[in-house]
Amino acid sequence: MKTSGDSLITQQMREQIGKEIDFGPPFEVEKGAIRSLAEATNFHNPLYLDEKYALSRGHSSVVAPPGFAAYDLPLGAPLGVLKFPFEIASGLHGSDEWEYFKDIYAGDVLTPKGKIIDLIEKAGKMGRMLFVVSEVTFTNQRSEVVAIYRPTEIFIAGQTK
Amino acid sequence: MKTQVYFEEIVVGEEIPHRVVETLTTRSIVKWAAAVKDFYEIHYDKDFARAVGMRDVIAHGPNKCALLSRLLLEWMGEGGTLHKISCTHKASNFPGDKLTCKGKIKDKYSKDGRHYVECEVWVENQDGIVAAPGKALISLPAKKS
Repeated sequence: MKTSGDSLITQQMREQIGKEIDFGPPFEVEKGAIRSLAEATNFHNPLYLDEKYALSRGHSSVVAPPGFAAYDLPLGAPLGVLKFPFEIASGLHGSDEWEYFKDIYAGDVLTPKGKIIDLIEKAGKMGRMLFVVSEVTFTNQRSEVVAIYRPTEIFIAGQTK
Repeated sequence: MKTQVYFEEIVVGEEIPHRVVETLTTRSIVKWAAAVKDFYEIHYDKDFARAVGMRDVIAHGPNKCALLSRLLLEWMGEGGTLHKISCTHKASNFPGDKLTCKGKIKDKYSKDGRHYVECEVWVENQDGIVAAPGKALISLPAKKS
């Protein structure tokens, strides 16, 4: 039986930091998916929507907008390996951090490789919270790292287990 | 063709002379959900959202990060490069919220032949409440390289 004074972060959870976890299989970047993302932000840049234009600007196909690599990314992947000593009252997406190294084009195949890089406990107006920071590195079919994404998911602690 | 911004034109402390303004709708939130395939119910099921304490469905955080990226890319022109962007999701946004993305120049420097500009960026709602403060690192072409 845990008491409310116990840490939300157990030894089992700490041991997961740095270990590779499954953030999904390799996926092909499709033109339609690029268009959908551009349209979802009203960002009608011809580099994303018009292949002829993209080619005329020296690109190999239409370019993917920033953030595209997180397409279908299972943000809850850390839950598969972390055994929380508490019930989750609710979950929130806390922050986003992107680093970009190379353009992503339609036809590229991206492979995500991810891990948990930090676990932080905080107290806020919604109660005790656990911040889970992940890092996902995306590599293209030429083994080039195109982007690194560091999302933080926040879990509000309910009853202790 | 949009106008290209050059490194020499950047003045530290000035606000970025461009804004992105978007009014959220349930439709726009669902369009984002479909575009990234993030179907967490809090973004389209009002009953679910209310059960976890929200008054309505909420926008995805990464949607706001993408709007901040759009702010920078639209402003700097095709010759600029977005290297890093981050933002923290401080407040939820609901259908009907008018989001305005703004930015400010924090620093500029040249290193290894590239001309970098550090920016502060943020998304605020119609009441001026900052929902997503963040920062970004871009590089720009120089007139004299």
